[in-house]
Amino acid sequence: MATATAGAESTTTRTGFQVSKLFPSYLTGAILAVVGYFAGYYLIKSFVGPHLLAGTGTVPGNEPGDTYNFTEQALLWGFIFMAAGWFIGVGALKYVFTWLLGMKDPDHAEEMKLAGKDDGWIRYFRFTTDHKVVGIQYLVLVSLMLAVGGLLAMMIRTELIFPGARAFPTETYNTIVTMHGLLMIMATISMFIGPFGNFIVPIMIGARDMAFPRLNALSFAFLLISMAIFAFIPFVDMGQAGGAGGGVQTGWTLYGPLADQTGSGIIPLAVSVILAGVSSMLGAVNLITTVMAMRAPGMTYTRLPMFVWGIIASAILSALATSSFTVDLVMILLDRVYKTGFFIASTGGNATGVYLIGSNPMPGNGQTIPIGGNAWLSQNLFWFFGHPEVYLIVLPAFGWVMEVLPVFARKPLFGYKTGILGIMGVTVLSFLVWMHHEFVSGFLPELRGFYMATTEMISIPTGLVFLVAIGTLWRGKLWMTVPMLFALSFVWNFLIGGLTGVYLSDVPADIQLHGGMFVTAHFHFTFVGGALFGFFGAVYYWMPKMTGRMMDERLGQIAFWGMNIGFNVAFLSMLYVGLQGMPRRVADYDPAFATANFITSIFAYLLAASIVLYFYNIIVSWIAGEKAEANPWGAKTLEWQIPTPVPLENFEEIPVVTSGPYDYGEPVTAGSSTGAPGVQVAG
Amino acid sequence: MDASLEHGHAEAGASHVSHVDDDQKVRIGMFLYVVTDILFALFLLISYLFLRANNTQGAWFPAGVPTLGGVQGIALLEAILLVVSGIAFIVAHVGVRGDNQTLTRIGVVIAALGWLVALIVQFYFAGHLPFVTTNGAFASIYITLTGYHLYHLLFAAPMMIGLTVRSLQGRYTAARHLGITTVGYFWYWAVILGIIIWLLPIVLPPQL
Repeated sequence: MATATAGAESTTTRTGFQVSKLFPSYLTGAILAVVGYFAGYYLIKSFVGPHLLAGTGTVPGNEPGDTYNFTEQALLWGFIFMAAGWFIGVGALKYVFTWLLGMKDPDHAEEMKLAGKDDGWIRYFRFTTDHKVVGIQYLVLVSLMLAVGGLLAMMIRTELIFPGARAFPTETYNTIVTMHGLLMIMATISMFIGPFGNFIVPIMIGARDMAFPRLNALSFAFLLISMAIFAFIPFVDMGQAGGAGGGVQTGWTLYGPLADQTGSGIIPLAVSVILAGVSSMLGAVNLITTVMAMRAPGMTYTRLPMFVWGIIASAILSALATSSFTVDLVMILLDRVYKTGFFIASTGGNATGVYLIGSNPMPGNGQTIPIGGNAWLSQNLFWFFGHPEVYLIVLPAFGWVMEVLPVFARKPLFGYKTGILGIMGVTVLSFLVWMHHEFVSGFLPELRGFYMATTEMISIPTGLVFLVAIGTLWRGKLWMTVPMLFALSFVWNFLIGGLTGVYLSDVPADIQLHGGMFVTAHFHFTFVGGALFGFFGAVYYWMPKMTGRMMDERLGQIAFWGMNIGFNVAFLSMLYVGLQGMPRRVADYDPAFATANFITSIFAYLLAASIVLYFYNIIVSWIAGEKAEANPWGAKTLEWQIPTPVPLENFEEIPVVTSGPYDYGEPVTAGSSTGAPGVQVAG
Repeated sequence: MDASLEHGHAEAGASHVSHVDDDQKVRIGMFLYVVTDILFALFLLISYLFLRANNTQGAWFPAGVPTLGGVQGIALLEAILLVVSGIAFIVAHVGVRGDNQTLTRIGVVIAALGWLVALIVQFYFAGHLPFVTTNGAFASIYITLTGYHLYHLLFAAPMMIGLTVRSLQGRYTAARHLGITTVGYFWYWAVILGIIIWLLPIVLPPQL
């Protein structure tokens, strides 16, 4: 082990900083993004818009004196140009041009340069193709997203600590709820696939990089610009007719026609979520290809670590389901900006259709026009993505839990193929349940029985995963590290989340509980207590490999217990008020719910404080933590068999895999002690 | 390899410079991309069916809105251009597999010319639609679908230019023709969508 670590130090030679390395970088990308935004905005606002309204001659049907607010159109094109400027600025399009102009293909040396060879810290601020750099970039960005989303959650709990809506105006509260929801969804979608799918999975399968390194860097660039645009949401108030004002007040589901009528914040929100969706689709294509085509010799599908299976299942869902939501968001934008009728039944007043190309008539002044849109279309498009999406978030956590339980129970995984069946069963079934979100919408009530049955069936493959987890723990020699604690808390929290989900899939119960706090508490048990705590455990588990430093054990334990006590009390209390009938998405509530809400808010603060402590632990340990050896956990998967820090191309020679990843408990070979208490790695 | 590998579930093997089939990798990646693209179009087509069946106030195709009429002829022309381009692309593929440089070049150039004319025709089509976005649910979804087709044609621009330049340079041989194979995945799908857009108002007319 020692020889391996020493060998790694010499592979990373770093040189001093040169200003030329900033061209291109995220700095030039940011500059061109700003330029692009203003160019797009004023092109429409000052040039195209007034030209379209120039008079009845060019725009038949438009009466003199008609006004049409081009601001949202300008805003939309501002963001589109902003994204374009960003991609040009970071140099993402360079190789598209060298390819189409028939220039020389990049050789290995150039590929290595693009991967940040000898670049030092600046490679983290560039369009860098090394999957490990992209993984770290994702880790930092996702942590920031979670931090901002968490801050928004605390604002929600502050508003709800007492009845009476005293902290924020109610419109602002609605915007906070919407932003919290969507930001957390985007963060949790990326939190496993981004940092660990990129950094760990290629090494786990014995590959030197992802299948498409440039596409990989591009998918991170998409998420970064998506977040920059997301930050506009609370600040755009374009004085809409009807006084809708700024922000977005729809909640994360963005149902039409509410989305057509809410504040202008929906424009940056929709653009941002579309870009994040493209990012996750590109990442999914890349990951699936990597696992299909780049496994090391001998790494058969039945020797893949469970975490890889979790990531693959998540990537499949991402590739197949995201399009549905993208279509929904495009329709929202078209409804608002170009006055199409996807979700609006009719439009009135002087709402004017503006067509992008040509000089078609613009009818509609002064009268109500039937358009024929349907709100159910929005619900179906949203939930066809929305339900697979919750499994998209949770499946990598399933994989991670099954990955670490054998490591810390020091025995083989109980039922490897059963675990795969569980993960893949959830993946397939998740496409057949979306309409259980529409039990009270009035849409096709005759199908409610079918969707109730499919939803309840999902507990079968989920149960298989629990079986594997419990079976692995059974009579294991448990090593209670922080990652192990998080894995165990996943089992507990997800069990509550899963069981409350069975209640909600039941039609009579759902009709009572729909739109209430019970639902909010249910999905937080799966997302926070399940997936997010899994992420925290995964950070702790892979931090030694990713940064070369161990995280502090004591701080980790304190944060773990604070998080779990805070989380469980807060959300069990929320389940209780939900059963009592408190609706969700409201800034004020009946005083009868006051005590439970007070308890929820106080323990939510404890949860937040513990998460702050956890992030503090990450930062402090990253800077000055104890140096990690190559395999501190004595694990058997490939990422732990290579030196820390990981060399640029991971493996000097591609390994040949000869056995499964969880063969613990074999006879101990002399000299293979990992230094862990009571733990030795079998040879 | 070094000692560390012996402790894991792997063993040091013979030196593999690259164990990855690069062609297979790109084929899988492009196939998956086209799958996501097809799904996007599929959801638009499902929305067409959904709104046709579930529109409010009978406003799927409100009275007084002009029918497609002559524009449908432009859609047919577009579909024919795309089919010609697609067939030329198949010819290029056959040519490159048989290492016939002349046939490859002729195929690619005709395919690219077909794409260029189709792009211009699609702009003309968009500018001459008889209705606008406010003219009911049919107009909304039809304009969006044709807009998506236009996006395909714009997205194909770097691919078509690149293939033309590179095939004229003679860079595609029987041994290496990944560019033609994988761009083909995308282009055949774009051709199929062009045909679907022409057929849609005939098979499922806007008038209920």
